Amino acid sequence: MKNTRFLGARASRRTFLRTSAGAGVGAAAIGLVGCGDDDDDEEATATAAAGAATATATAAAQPKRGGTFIHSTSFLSHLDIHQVSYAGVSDVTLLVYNRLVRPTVKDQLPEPDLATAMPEQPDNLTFIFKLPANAKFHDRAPVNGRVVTAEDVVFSLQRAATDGPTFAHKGEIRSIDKIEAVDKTTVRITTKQPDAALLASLSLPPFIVFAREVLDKFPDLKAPDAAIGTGPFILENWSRETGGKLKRNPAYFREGLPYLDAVEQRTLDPDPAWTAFLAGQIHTAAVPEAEEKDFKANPKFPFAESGSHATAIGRIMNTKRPPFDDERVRRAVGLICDRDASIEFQQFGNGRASVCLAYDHAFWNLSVEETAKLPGFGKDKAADKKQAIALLEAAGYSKSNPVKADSVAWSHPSRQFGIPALEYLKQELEQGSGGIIQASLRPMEPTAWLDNEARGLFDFTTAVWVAGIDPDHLLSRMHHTVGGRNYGRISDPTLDAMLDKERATFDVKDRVKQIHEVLRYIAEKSPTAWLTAGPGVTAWQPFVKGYAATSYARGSLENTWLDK
Amino acid sequence: MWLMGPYILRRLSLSLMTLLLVSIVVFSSVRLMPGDIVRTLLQDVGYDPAREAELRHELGLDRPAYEQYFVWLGEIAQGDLGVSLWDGRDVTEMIRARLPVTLELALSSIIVAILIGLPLGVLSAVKQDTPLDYVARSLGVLAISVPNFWIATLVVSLPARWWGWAPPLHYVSFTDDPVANIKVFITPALVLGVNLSGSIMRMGRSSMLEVLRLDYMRTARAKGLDERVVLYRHALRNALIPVMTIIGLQVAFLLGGSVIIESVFSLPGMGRLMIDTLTVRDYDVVQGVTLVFATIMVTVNLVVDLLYMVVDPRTKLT
Repeated sequence: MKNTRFLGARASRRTFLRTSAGAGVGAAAIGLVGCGDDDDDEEATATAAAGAATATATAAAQPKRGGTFIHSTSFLSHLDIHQVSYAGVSDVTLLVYNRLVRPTVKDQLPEPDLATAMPEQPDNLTFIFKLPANAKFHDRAPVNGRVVTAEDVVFSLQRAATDGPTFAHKGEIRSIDKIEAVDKTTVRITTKQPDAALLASLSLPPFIVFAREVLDKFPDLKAPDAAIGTGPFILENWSRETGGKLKRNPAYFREGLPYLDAVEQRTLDPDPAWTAFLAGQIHTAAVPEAEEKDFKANPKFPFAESGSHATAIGRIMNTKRPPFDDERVRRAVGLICDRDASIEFQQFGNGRASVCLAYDHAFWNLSVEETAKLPGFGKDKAADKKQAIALLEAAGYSKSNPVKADSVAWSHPSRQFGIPALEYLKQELEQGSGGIIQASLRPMEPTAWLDNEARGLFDFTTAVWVAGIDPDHLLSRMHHTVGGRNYGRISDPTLDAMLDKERATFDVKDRVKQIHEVLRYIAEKSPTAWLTAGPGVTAWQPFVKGYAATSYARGSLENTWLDK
Repeated sequence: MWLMGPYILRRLSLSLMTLLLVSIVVFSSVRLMPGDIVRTLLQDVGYDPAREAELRHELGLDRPAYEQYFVWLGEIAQGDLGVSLWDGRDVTEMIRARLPVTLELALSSIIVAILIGLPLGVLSAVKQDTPLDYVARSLGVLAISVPNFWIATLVVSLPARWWGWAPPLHYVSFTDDPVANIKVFITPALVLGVNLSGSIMRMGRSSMLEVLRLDYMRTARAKGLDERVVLYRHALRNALIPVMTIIGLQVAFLLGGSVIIESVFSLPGMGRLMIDTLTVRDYDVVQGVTLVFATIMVTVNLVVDLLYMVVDPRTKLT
């Protein structure tokens, strides 16, 4: 279960224990620089610029062909991306398959992948995609290099939307009403209601294109033999225990790409992966969170910020159980939380204050200055605490009648989600409330914790989340009444309406404004007390060029080459 | 030796009963743990009681526990350890993929431990109360005292930070590349082996000292036997029994998987498999792996007991 996952998924192993999985990379740092209207803090911009400068410099050189790119990957269950969290699996699938659209490196907005151009949108419910005539599947049975058709796209998306209990990503395209093959190279998608996040959703790793014949021959996409796509690399072998090997697809539809002859993926946990990287055994790795700040101050390798392990930290309150069914108590918690202290302790000094959106959502997020104006996010914590105590007293609580909060978290040494996080939280709440809040700590083994959280058997928990491509992915999942990860049992018709509205707004500038309103509303009402967002930092060997992947995993590596 | 037949039969039947008991304990305990495979599978989809019921039925987990147990037991009787509820893989295949890694690590570690611990123990006993004895005893205590996972972490991470070198951190099977395979196992085997050698050394020393003081040793020397013959043929052979017990326990322990060492060196062994599958409550795999562990433990114990008789035919069959 490495599973560092996106889309409102909890950052699990990689970010903490098992993984980091390997690493997602992400060059959202480049995105930060690209988004000129972003007002992020100077340090973040400076380090982002360093990563971007490296990427720019490498892009200017003449690519060389050949070589094997070696990277780590996490322990994966199987390769059926429709039936599993996809951060780890996408290491394989993004190389083997294409999607209709993919996120840009610059700002993660969708751009054509298999589609020849962005879709025509005759109205807000219809998306018409055109496919290239020269895109062929890998030359392997049972497809044997045949040309991709619109029917393949229809079949693939329908399979992703399968209504089975283990199909994990159908919710991401739940707005789709119909998928039709208009002719051999034209696909029409019709949605039930306007969905401005649909293209971003379709750019996520699960929405791969594959051939129907594959599922005629294999029961699912789990086995390596079933991994047949149109992507830049062909899977030669793969095993859960050791990783995989892929070779260049000579018939890739983007002529001249990829540059690499092969890619080798080695199954490694995050810490061994970083060690292997330092020893030159692999070509890229995620910098351990505790070392990010020092690494950025004195980088010995090219790097980029953000990516799959960029995180957002929040305090989830069970809004259906006392004491957090009382908005005043939730708001008090939101006011007490000290974001600067959390950045220092939980993000190892490497992050920013943020409401829900992750570090690589800079394009959509409120600026640091605007965020500082939100309740509880300012510098005057004494005033915040005074207001928090007043709210608690108004709710009927006092030192003699304290707020008792059953706080659960993983029994793990992580500062972000484990026992140290709980202890930090307890101290913060008790001191900030003048002793009115008394938190009892209940560290739990991970699966038990997830189980408790899913069933709402807790008052309070601290969590870390990685985000999707579109801000709505995390916002809706966590806060909408029907959100798949609405663990706080939030049900606020006003917030639901705001989320529905922003999702139906296609004009990006308008949508940014609406999302800012949602963020302000969440900070004010505090259904969840959000604290900070931290970047992941991914480093690569100096001879690796053109390594500027999207915010999940390593992208397709189609532009990566080795200068040696 | 003809007496061994009934003895082995008796031990085998006791072993089967032990394994049956283990199967009941494991089957029950894994289900009594909070959290379960179904909710873990649904993590990515979002929790929904209807979906949970559907999936529970699909996986056969809605049947009474005793029924599930007897179905599983029936499958085991046919040599089938079941399939992973997490990803549908065959449990036997999963174990088959991981067991060679654990076996290789265990055997290479125990060889290192014996090569270091036994000579050092013998030497220490023979040279009792000399500087050599003090050094050997200190080394033995040091080897036992320093946790192997700490040494392993240092061995892996410090050279990488200081000199840009680390032992190979990617498993390669012996059949794919024997040289690369040996390179992969050298460091973890040394780390584990040195750690284990401490107890072998100490047990070897005390056992040798005990034997060296016995009358028959004096008799052997009085007969004019060569000192090497006295030591290796008469003393060491008799001193080996307690050492073998220790080695047997260590082998059984190592075959159960050295989870932390496997993690530090990224070796996909049984320990890793156990932890990974236990984390998601993959019942069939956890049960299968535990049963294999138990079988190994029981078998190793049996083999060690039988070896006593080979080493010292005076050992009674009780």
